[in-house]
Amino acid sequence: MPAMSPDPLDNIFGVLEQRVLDALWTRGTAATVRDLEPDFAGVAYTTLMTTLDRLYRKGVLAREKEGRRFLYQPRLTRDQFLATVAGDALEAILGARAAEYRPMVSFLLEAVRTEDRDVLDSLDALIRERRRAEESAE
Amino acid sequence: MSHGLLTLCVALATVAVAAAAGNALVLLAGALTRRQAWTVFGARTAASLLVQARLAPLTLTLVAVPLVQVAFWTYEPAHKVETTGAPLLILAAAGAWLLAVMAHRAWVCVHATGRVARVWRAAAVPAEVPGWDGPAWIVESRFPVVAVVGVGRGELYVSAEVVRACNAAEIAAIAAHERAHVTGRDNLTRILFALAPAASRAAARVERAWAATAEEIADLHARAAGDGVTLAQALTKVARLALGASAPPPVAVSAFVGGDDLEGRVRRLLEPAQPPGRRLGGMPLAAVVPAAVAAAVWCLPEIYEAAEFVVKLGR
Repeated sequence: MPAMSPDPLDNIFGVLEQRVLDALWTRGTAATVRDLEPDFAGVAYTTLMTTLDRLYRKGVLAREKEGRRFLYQPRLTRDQFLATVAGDALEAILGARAAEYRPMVSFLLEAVRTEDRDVLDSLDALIRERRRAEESAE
Repeated sequence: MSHGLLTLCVALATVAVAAAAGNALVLLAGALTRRQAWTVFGARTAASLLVQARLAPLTLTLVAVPLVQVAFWTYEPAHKVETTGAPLLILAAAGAWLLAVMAHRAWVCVHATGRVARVWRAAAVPAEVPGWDGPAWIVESRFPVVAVVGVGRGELYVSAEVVRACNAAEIAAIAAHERAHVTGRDNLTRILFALAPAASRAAARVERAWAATAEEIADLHARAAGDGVTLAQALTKVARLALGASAPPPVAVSAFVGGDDLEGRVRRLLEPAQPPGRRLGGMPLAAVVPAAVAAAVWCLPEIYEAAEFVVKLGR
């Protein structure tokens, strides 16, 4: 098994993507490509723009048009993002091809529809009934 | 074309033909799945048949390639230089493409599994789970994750929310259920599914049907290890946590277990225990494959003739 990364983001984003995210989280405000450029010496303007666009397409960043420029900002704070990482790990890692390439994971329960609430109520009633029957039999 | 190159082309063409024949079985199995045909069998038999049907392209390839190669090596004069027609080259190209797809899918499956485990572990704490003797982790997650990752011993991941919601007996029942996935080598089956190329819709239907039966079998094991009511209670508790959680990752939807399936599982767990039924397991393969191989070895000259027919086709 490969060595465990200390930061879960390492497993989801590329190095530059993570640096861009960190820069935006540190700033705490929306930023354009030009705003971020000074923090990325040696990285071409177009590379930075592509990276921001990729993060936007991944749903990690929100963007808003201001004149001819885009203002980017993270949809979630770093802590909020990390809290969702475990649950969304598969989606983040596999993206749109998730259904095609399933990892070797067996789930107890994979999805429950909101309309199943009534079903769950009736199932819980059945379980209580069964428990009562068992207790009275003892 | 040299003898070596010709042999390679014939092997690749065999891959394409065997995979196509296996796909016909997958399509048939997919059609039967649509008609709920598997429900006439017990869960174990249904699971076994579904796996065999879904893996037919892979099984046929693994059987056909060595057979054709043996026939070719036996009857094709060595050092013979032969010209071939376009059909063989087209089939060989298709076979090479299929092998590349298989290798890529297997790599992505293994790689994705490793990454999922690393991401979960990075935000997880190791835990002792009653009834689970392998590595276990408690993860922080919006969705109530209860999952076994990997083949071999498997690693158990349980979300903190599930641990808080369930009592010790329910956690033990969950562990017994997940243990059954490990002993049933369900994750290995998943990687074999990824390896076996097949028409996507029919294959997905067969895989969904298999996943449902695999859950049913794991429930039966957990019930045998403890009691069905406790697992049923754990299932509804986890399901309630899932109700409040955000949409699950799309990977999970491919083996959707909710609504009717959840209800069916809980109701089955509350019914009087039924004997789990005989596992058909590898029985049909164990009986059929050696007989088929013996027959095929007997027919080696005919197999060679068929290969030669394809070689000369369109020449």
